[in-house]
Amino acid sequence: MEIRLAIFSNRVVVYNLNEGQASTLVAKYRNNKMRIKSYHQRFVPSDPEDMVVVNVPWDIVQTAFLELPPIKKDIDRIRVAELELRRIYNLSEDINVSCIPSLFGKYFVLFVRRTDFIRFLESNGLNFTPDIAYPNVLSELLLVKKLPGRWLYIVLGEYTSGIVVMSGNFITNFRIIDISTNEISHLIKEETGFELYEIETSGNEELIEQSRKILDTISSDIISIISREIIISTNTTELEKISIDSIDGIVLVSKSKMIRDTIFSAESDIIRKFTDPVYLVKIYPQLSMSELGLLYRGGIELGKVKSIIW
Amino acid sequence: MEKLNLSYGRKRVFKLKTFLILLFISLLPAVSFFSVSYQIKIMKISKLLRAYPEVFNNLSSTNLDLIEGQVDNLVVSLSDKEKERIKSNEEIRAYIMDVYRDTYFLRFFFNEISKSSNKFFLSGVMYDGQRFYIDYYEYGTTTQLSTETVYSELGKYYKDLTVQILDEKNFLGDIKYFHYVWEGKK
Repeated sequence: MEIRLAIFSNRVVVYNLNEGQASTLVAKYRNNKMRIKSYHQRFVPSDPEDMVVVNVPWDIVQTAFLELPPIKKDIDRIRVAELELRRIYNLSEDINVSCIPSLFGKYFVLFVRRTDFIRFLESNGLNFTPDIAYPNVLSELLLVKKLPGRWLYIVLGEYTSGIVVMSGNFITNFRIIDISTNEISHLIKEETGFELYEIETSGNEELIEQSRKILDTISSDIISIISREIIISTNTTELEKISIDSIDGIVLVSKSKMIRDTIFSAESDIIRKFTDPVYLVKIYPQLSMSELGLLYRGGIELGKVKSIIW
Repeated sequence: MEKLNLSYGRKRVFKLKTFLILLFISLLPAVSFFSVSYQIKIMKISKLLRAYPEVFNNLSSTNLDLIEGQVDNLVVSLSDKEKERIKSNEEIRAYIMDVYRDTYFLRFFFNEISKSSNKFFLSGVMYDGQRFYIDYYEYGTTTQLSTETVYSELGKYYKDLTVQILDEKNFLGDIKYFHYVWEGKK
């Protein structure tokens, strides 16, 4: 019998819940390092003493940019934001609110209805409140180094993708876009019988070539969606006036190298502004970026995270 | 962005096992302190027992808890013995003195008369165990036995001491005789 002194070992358990699928990632935090202990492609129950981090899908999250008075305490600021949201959206039920500071005294405020949140947790097998709930897309973005100046970060996630307009470390606009790398992977699986991730890691030249051809056929669709969404994002940024020419660059965050290559190969003014991300920690291909992002977020709650080790 | 959290407060709980382990660990210093101090006590007591075998060989049991009581008992019995010895010492002393006094008056008398150059005639000695009576004649020009000396010496040991000159007569030429009587009570 192994005596686990949970109070000294800081276990973090990450649940990635998407469309009925669940995965569990267990790690220990010590000395600014996250050490991954195990990873399961199913729901594994956690200890009551663990720190539990869960993702939140965007279908239950709503956002708003609010002007809030300068308040020292976070709890008070959240209360003010909650009242403001109730007023604006005419809400009567309980909501969970969280604020991210943005430019010019405004805050990027996210909220979920508590009933939606609980229903989401229970339908995936979680019957207790997690310590941290962090939305998709932003979790992937957490692992990317934010560059100074005005940048667009396009996050192509497995289930949800989005565009985040940032000025340095501050979010100035946010949009969900209708691309899912999982859907693209399904497409490839229909044709080749293998998932995109498997093909990428196998190194099989034939399969890779086949996948590339399939991706080429849909690349124009992808690129047109992305280009449109970029333009809409820059135009709808209310906090400050920006244009495609005024932004310093566009960072494409995607786990799949093949999708990245497909997009970069297109000829267009917008694509010329694209660049690769600088990651703050090592990206393990066996894990999804949102899982790593959630793990990183769990670690930040306990202190600084200098590296993630498996 | 790092502080974003859409989950409302979760109660942090500790497992019972963790609590018990922490309790055990926190009690360890106290327990170890007590056990070490008990060990040191036993060591010191054993050292003492070995150092004074004359006293401690009479201990009836080696149970270290009863030692304190036994030591107290020993002290009491030894002090009783001491008192006893002192008492018997005193008794012996008294007895010796008593016996000494039975004959001391005579020895003193003979000592004194041998120091003197006068002639003495002891006419009678009586002693009944309590009172003595010496009756003698000293022949000489003067009496050489100083009554002060007698009083001071015999007075140390006898009570109701009297030294009387009963008679003083000329005997022959300038030689006189002195009739002395000593009396005293033990």
